[in-house]
Amino acid sequence: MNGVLLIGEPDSLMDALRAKLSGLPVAVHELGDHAPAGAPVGRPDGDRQGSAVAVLDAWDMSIAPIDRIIFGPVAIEHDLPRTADDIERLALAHETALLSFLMQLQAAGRLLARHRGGQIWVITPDQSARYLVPISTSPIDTMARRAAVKSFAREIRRMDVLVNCLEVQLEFDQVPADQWRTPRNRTNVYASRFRKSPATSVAGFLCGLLAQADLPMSGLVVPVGIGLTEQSI
Amino acid sequence: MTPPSTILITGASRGIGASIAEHLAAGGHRLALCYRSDRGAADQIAATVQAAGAEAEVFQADMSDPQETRELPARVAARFGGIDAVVGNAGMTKDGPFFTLQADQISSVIRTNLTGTLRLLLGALPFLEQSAAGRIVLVSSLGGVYGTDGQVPYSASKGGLIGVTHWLGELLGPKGIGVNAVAPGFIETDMTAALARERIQPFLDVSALRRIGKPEEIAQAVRFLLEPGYVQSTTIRCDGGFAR
Repeated sequence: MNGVLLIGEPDSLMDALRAKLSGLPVAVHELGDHAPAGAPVGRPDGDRQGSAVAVLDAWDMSIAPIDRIIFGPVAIEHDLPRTADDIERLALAHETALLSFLMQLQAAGRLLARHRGGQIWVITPDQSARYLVPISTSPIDTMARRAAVKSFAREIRRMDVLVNCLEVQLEFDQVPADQWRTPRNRTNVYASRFRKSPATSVAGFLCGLLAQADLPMSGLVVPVGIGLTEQSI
Repeated sequence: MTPPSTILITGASRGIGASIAEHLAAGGHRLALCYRSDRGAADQIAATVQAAGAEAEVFQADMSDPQETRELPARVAARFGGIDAVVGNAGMTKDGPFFTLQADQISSVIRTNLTGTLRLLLGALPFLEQSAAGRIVLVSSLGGVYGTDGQVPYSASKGGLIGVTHWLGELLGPKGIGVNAVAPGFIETDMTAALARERIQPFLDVSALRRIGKPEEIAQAVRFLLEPGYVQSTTIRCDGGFAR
C-alpha cells in the first residue's frame, strides 16, 4: 500500500480511518470540500479546486502515488415529499449524487488502472438500520452504488483493480445513550447479542483489508456488524 | 387487484410492459398504457387488451422529462377517476465498457430508469393513497441485484429501483400500499435481441433452467405482486435460477 485517497465528507468512520492510517507508513490524501487547501495532492500546482473528477484525471502519481481509494457515504434527505417542488428537489438530489459518484468511480478506476491497479472501497451504510434509528443516507443511493460497484468490478478486475463496498451501521453510534434503549431493544427481535460497531473498530477492519496486497475479493458488499447486518436478517 | 382496478404501466408499448398489459387484460382492469415514442405499437397493445375485456387508453410521456413524468399520474387519474396501481417498467440502456461512457450517456440512463420512475411514483402517491389497495411494482433487473459488466449505469439505475422498493415499502406499508419489485434475468425482448447470442448463452448455461425467459413469465410475477398480500419491500428474482 503506497497511498490512500479519501473522497467524501467528514463522518465518524472517515475520521477514524484517517486516525488509523496516520499510524501506518502510508500517505493519506483527501478530496472534498473539507480538505485543507495548499498541500500537494497529486497535482503539480497543489491545486485541490475543481471537480473531484478533474482532480482524479489530473492526478500525478509521481508526486503522490496512491493505490487505495475510499468513497465515503453521502447524506441525502429522503423524507416523503408532497409538493411538486419537493418531489423535484428529492429526485434531483438523487440524480446529482448518483451521477457524481459514477463519474468519480469511473475516474478513480481509470487512475488506478493506469498505474498497476489497487483497491477501491465504497462505504455504504446498512439501510436496515432505518427501522431503528434515523439515518442520513438514502436506500436508493445506497443500492444504486452497490449495483454499480458489482458491475464495475467485473470490468476492471483484469486491470488489477479491485472494487468492493463496505456495509457499515455506524448510525447506531450516533444515538445518544439516553435514547439508545428503544432501538437496542428492537434489535433483539433479530439478535439478542447485537452490539454497536464502533467507528474505530470498523476503520481497523478496513485498514486490514487495505493493507492486504493479494486481497481475495472484488465485486462484493462486505457487511460489518455484530448480530445484525442488512444482508443476514 | 382482484376487483377491476386502474393500473398505470410505463414502457407498455413493447416487451415486458406490453406482456404485463396483456396478462392483466383478462381481469377487466382499466389500463393506462404509457409509451414514449411508438404510438402505433401502444395503440396495437391497447386494441389487444380491449379485445380481452380490459378498458385501455394510451398516454405519451418521456420518463426522462421531469415535468411530463410528474404530471402523468394526474392525466391518468383525470381519465379513469383515480389510480390503484403503478407498474414502473420503462427503461433504457447505454451499454459499453464503463470507461468509454460519457456523462450524458450515464445521465440519460439514470434519469429515465431511476429518477424518472421516482418522479412518477411520487406524483402518483396522492392517488394510490386514496385507493383501497394501492400497489406499486417496479421492474428492476438482474443487473440491479448482482451487477453485469458493460452495464454499470443500467445496473446502478436498477439497483436504485430496489432501493426505492425498500424506501417506499417501509413508508407506505402502514398505509396499506404494497411496494415490491421483480428482477428479470435475460428475457426475450428487443433489448436482449440486440445482444449477441454468445454474450447471453453463458448466462443461460449457468442458470438452473438453462433457457432465456419469456416476457409473460415476468408478467406472471408482476400480477402476483399486484394482488393484496403479505409480500412487502421485496424483489423477486425472475432469472431462471441464475442468482443464488
